[in-house]
Amino acid sequence: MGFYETTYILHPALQEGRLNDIVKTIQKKAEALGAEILYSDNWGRKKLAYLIDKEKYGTYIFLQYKLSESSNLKELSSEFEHNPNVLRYLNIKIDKEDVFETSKKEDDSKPINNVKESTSDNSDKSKEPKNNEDKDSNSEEEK
Amino acid sequence: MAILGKSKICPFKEDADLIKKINYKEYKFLKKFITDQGKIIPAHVTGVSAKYQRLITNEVKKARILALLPFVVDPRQN
Repeated sequence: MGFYETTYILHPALQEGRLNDIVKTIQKKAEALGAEILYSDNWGRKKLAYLIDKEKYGTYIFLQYKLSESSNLKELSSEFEHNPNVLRYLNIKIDKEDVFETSKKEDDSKPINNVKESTSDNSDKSKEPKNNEDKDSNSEEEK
Repeated sequence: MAILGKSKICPFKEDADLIKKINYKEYKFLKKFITDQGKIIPAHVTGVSAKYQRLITNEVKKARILALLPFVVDPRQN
């Protein structure tokens, strides 16, 4: 048993509807292999740092999930490997504390909140806006 | 990218919040630790302590696999 995260890059020529279909089928396949999806995000279309399959752009999809059997990760990887729409993927084993909250805005810098989440749901809702502010201030610093 | 000052003080020992940004998802932050050519800047130049330099190299390499950061940038092409 373990927690994992996968980032994969989808082909840039896919239309939005088709893209969502592929994301859904991949999620279903993951669930069929015993993965419990905890967080998923679309990072959107980004410029690649170098060409992959002669493509300049790609759509990044990010997934975090819990696998009951780690041997299933191999099968899941072959799923990505053989899917012609996936340009590149990366599986990483993570700790339970690294899992983002299911709320739409992510925040990995506050693992304490995740622990509290299991005890009380109400307190978390009040904390969410604070997290967003933190995230905004971070991005300003980057600029 | 800009080398974080030229101080010999580890930036992560001064600001503990920065440690959480050593992650391949924060590739814009990791750009500070690679050169224009895409090489990882040695710790003795940036002043990063060995502990965090190890993390940085690992995360930069993950970001490179996902094409978030370059393996090499040919200076002649730009």
